[in-house]
Amino acid sequence: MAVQQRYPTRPLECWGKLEELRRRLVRDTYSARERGDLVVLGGPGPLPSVLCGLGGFQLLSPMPIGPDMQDLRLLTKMNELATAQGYGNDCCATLRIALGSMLMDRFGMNKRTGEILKPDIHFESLACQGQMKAQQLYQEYYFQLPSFVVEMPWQEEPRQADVDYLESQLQEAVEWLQKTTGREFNDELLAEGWLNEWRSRIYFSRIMEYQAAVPAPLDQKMLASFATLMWRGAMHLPEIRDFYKEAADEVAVRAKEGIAALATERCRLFHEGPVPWYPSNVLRYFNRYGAVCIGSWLYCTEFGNFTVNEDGSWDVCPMPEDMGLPLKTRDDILHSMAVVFTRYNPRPQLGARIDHRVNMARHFKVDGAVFALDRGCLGNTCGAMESIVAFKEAGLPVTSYEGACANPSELDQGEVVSRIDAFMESLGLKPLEPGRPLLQAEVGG
Amino acid sequence: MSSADKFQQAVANRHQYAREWKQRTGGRVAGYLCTYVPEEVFYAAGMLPVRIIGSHEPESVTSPYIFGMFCSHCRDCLAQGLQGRYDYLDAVSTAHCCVHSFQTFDSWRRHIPVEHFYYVSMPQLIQSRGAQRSMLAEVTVLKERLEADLGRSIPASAMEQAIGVYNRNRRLMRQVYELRQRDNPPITGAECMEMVMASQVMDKEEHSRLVESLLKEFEAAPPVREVGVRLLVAGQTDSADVVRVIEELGTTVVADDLCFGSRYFWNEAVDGKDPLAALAQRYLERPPCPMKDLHGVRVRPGYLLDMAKEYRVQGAILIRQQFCDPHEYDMPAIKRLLEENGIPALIMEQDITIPLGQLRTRVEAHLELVQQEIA
Ligand code: SF4
Ligand code: SF4
Repeated sequence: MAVQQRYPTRPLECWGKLEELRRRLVRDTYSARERGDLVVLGGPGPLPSVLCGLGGFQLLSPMPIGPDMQDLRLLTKMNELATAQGYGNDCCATLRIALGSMLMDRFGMNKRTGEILKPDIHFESLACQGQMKAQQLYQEYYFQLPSFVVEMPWQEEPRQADVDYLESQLQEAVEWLQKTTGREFNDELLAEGWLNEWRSRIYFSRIMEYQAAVPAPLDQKMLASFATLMWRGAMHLPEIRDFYKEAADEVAVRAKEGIAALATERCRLFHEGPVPWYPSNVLRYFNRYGAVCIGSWLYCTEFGNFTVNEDGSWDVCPMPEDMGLPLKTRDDILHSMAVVFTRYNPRPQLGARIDHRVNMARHFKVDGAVFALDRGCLGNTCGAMESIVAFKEAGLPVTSYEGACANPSELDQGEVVSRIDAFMESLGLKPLEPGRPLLQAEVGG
Repeated sequence: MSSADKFQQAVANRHQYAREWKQRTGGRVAGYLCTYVPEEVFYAAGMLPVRIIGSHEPESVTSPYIFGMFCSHCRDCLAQGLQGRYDYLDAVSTAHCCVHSFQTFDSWRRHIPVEHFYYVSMPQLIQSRGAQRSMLAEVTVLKERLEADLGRSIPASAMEQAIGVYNRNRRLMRQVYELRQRDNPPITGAECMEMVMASQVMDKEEHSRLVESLLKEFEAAPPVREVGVRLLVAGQTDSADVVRVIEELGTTVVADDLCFGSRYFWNEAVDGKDPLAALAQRYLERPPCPMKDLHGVRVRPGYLLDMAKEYRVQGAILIRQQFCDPHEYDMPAIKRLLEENGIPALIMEQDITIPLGQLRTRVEAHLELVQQEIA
């Protein structure tokens, strides 16, 4: 029997700090009132740092993240409540559970104390149609929250008109924030927050860039854990910026020294599309075959700021000091935000995403791709079928399974496992470990 | 043949019409998916803009390219392209709307050979302060790209003339719509929809002449018909037959909010110094579709309630294409407001590619409910 090559592996040194920061962010959110912080519904989208000009604030994510997402009974109930209100399965799955949890009086609940945190305003920048429509529901169902949304322009290619449009919306946002909250807007705090967000994003982009190394220094699940600080919209904080710098340095060393996320790596995959939040172990299921999900276009573009070259490599957005933009006044800051998010933001370039995916697959040396076709996330399934066609044309093996990231009734776990097994077999891989571990999700509540 | 019949024929024979137009004029034809495309620019360039419409038949050609959860209308449109029914198009265009229509546009671009594609990346937050400037930039880019592709300039006078032709057409169709406020509307909802759809596939001047004839016919001898329950139809369908089915069941559709109906032509481009700016403003100010009604509190429910009152409707049918999430997000709010104001509203899901026989049974059941609520 051939001896399976084993790469050296070791835990991430920064992991403890990540856990600590995650816990602290949750604590800070729920103690917002003690410090007189503003509570803002929003966060995962770009540019939470616009809020920095208002002084102390905490973000409450409109995507209910946390323990509820692992609880099948609760999730099912939330989905049912949304359906009963007329928002069926074809609406955004995360919106449906947000709505369901609002209707169950669980939205914003501190799971430890049972206390509900009510936001003061809703503020987000969005490109997704589901999320754009969802903000109207926050007003209807959720305390008639005053809401302001910034549209991240969809682009065929980066253009000056989009910079102007985004910049003008940001100017309007600042005025709205001042008027709605009655707070003075501090331009120094705005600049500080934005520069931190900018740097955090670049460090995070670099972390993902190192995934091109063989063996992959991280797997997709680790990347997702790193992204939780981004999901909480905390990239404007100096300690988060410093954490990402430290993490990027550590991952660089791992890439250089050949430290693997999976010691038995012999097959590298992109897992495209939203990963089901329940069961939580789809990504790790591949490991028993010596296959590692190293990322995806979707993951990388969620919080990364870069452009994709024809060979699939990236030009990561320069650091503020290397960008050559004035950064003194409020206008300078808002302009630079608009420039970064139009020039270095592949996410809203819907037409380009298919070529980006194929080119990136080559650059990241993947052996194939798995597409989660999400029935409750049309924003992310746009282009998925075309990408599958393009992967096949490029000679890259590909498979898919259907589900909905936040609706357990849309995912047939047995079917997913069979499809993955069949795909692995088609790649000539046999399980390295005996047995047949099934996907699982916890039932609690 | 009455003018109403001519509209029906024009829609049914739209491919033949476009081909003959091409042959007769030597001009080019531009197909578009979304009615936010400022089609006056194509018209000013001497082209015939035609809306891409599905054939409402079951199909299996789109499944490799479009995920099954995308709306049936978009799949139906792409199927037409893949089956070669639009092989006469010289250009295909769409405006930034929902991901579904983008997917159709992008798949068209990838798999169906057409000389030019134009994507109008218009702003969604139409009320935002920068929207006018952004839309103007889009209209300008469209004009410049067309000029480059055609190798000739589009003078301001041609733009003004196109705007004039379109405004006249809109004004005439509004005159027809106003007649629907009468106790006995001289035109059915299905006929009205065919009039609007004919306008989307015909030369505008020729269409305007037909609308004028229609208005004259109504003056001379208004058709007599049992009105029954006065209904508003809103949402999305590109099939006048759907409206016909509804009207065969003892109703008259007296008002609509469809992009194959009033939403297409309701407002004019107001004359100004700059025709492109006038166009940009027109498209931002038209009655919004769900993907343009995003800023703060929705405006569509109130807009529809006003329309319902103006046309004295007794019930509403909100048609949603299967898997159309943009309309789905708005419909509960629209239904709630209409019902709070005594107008029973029913949300009806439709898959445009499924034969209408099945729809009739559902409409009938829905209408019984409307009638009970009116009684
Ligand atoms: S990206 Fe998908 S899950 Fe997210 S809001 Fe949009 S449709 Fe919903
Ligand atoms: S608005 Fe609805 S029906 Fe229209 S293209 Fe989009 S999803 Fe389809």
